[in-house]
Amino acid sequence: MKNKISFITEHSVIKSDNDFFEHISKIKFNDKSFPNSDAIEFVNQFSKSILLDKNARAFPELIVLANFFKRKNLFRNIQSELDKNKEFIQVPLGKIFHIAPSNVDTIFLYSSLIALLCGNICFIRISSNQTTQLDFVIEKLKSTLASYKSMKDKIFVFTYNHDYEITKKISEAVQSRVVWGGDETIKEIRSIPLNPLAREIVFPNRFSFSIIKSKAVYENESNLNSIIKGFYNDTSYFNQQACSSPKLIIWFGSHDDNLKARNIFWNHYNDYVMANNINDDAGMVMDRFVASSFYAANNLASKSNDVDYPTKLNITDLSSKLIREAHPGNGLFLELEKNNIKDVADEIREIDQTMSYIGFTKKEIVNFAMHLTNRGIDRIVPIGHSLDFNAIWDGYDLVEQFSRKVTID
Amino acid sequence: MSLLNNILEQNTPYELEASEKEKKLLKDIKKSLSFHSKNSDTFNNLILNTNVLIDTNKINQLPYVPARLFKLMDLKSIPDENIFKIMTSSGTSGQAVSKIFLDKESSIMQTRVLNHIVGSYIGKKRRKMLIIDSESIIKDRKKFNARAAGILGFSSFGKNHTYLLDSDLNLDVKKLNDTLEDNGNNPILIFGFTFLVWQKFYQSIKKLGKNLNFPKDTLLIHGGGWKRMHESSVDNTQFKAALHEIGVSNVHDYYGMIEQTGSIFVECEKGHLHCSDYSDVIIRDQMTHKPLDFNKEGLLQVISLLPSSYPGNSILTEDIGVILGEDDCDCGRKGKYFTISGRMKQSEVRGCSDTRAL
Repeated sequence: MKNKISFITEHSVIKSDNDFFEHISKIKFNDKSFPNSDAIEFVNQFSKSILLDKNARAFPELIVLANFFKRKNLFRNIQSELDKNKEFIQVPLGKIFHIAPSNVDTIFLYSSLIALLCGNICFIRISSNQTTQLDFVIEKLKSTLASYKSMKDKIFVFTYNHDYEITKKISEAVQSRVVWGGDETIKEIRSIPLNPLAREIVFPNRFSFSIIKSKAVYENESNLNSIIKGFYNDTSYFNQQACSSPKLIIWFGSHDDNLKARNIFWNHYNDYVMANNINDDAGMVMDRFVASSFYAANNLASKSNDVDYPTKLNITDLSSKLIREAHPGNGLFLELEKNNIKDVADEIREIDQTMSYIGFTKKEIVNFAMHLTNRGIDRIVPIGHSLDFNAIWDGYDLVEQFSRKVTID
Repeated sequence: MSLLNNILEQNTPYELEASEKEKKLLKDIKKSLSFHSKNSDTFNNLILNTNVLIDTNKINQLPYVPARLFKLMDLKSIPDENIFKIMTSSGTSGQAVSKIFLDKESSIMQTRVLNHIVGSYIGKKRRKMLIIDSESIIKDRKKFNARAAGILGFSSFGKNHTYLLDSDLNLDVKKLNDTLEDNGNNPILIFGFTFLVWQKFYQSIKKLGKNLNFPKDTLLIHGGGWKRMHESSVDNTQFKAALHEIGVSNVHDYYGMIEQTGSIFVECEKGHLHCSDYSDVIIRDQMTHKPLDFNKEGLLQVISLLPSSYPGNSILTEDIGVILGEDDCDCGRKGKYFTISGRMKQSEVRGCSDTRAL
């Protein structure tokens, strides 16, 4: 039978798909250390190799990832879990099957690397679509693996075209499945059975937005630069397509306040865009035009024929599902005016993930989040931190998810 | 009488000169767009929510709808009970397809306009016709897509149709030989989609290694796009030279889209695609969507008098082209003439998910 799985990492014992399935099912799990010190060394070295390579400058998102996984941060993220453990031993979950999205961004690496740090063995299916960014990451992964022999049997990176049987065979042998992808992919993969004892974590489509108190903008015009820089980073990396990138701004204040603040904010933003090259292209321009036309035809927004970066559209109501589904990122900003933060609560939907803010007190925000009547909102961060990864993501504590507790009385 | 009916009375559909064309075309396109905005809520929303007016003085100020919008929503300006035919674009599986709603009247007009345009190239006499496709594609009415629509639309220009490909899209050499023998020296018409003509017709004949005797004046009309041809690095000049080599002396490409079926742009003897009096084109800058001058490359906006059951009179395509001139092509036809150089490069899909609504 022809082998359908092609390995990206080297595994000399695996010669066929069947060898691989057999290997997965037979793995003995003898290293229960948590977190795993070999993995910590390895991930640290992997991050360093990215940061030390000048070519990484072409991929700012990777630099953010590498900084996240540098040693100091890691201990802060995982050690704290350890300290609490008194009445139980925390151990790795075991074998984890990661399914990366079919586009080639590297966000899926966050969950894979955290799983490794927790001492797990990772099987990572990536898409066969190649980009320079993915090639770069794979090259770093392989070169780091070359000097960490003990990790070779803990990371399997491979690719295969969507195949029910292969996904099923791997899913039956693992303790957890992690799926990044669009809603359709997630639905499809969820229909493939898992080992009854296994867990599943999914990262489907999400929508994110910013809330800005208008007064905070025009009363602090002199200090606006760092906010603008932060908002630019939130929206320019991943061309605004990351699930946590804001696609909408809700302005709070009287209409006059909002008008004043919006003017100041966008002028500063435009200046910043002019000074820093934004990667706008014809495809992005068309996406903005198509989405604007779609919103206008559905009576959801008013627009002009202007397709400049950024393209801004006024909406009057956030409740429609179409508003979120039709947004292509790529430099399109929806804007909505509200008087009071309480006025938005009813328009939050379950798909809403990150709410970034300026000008609100923590108390106001917590109060707001506590009064939502559905599962909407998983992250609340100051503007400029939308893309910061956290070991708690989409409501999952990943360290908890990738480990289990053996209770001892 | 409407401009559309006036043009239908003309000897050829390439007679209006620039000085009168814009004024006449603009008047009737505006009329048509106003009709659509009265009869299609979605189109009316689009106009009202966009800072544009239908009533403009220049053709390049008319509102335009992105071609992709026809894939995202149903745009029609006729009541459901008047729908006579729904045409869809031939997208690959999993991709959204455009849906175009026709009433009987618009369907008839599409055929009449197509006949007028294509007839001006091949003459009134119906020729023996070879179709480079499989007959199965038009039998399944449920899958009535652009390819089937093209074949049916062009079928009326010929008689004794012979489909030359089997159901696996391979050339039936015996059928071709027999047909050529039976036909003798009468001029024939060949029709097919560009990549099928190249891959299945030309390359198969080439492989046979012997000359086939196509009658003198054999004429090939082909269309459907160059994307797959560019993948095999074949351009129009090479394509024509190759077909001349196997004895097909007249080769005409055509450019058209499901959203404006009928008013197609046919390639003249000089190798230029021509606007007919039924249509016009505008080139827009890819980054600003502002209109560009002749000889500048950009996105192609297509304008057609035909669409009367859906708001497709003014569409911004995702094809890249250049307008080379107007009224002064050496072939003698009036109107703008242009070439298409390819598709706009799509934006990159990024971030955490792998699907996108649009």
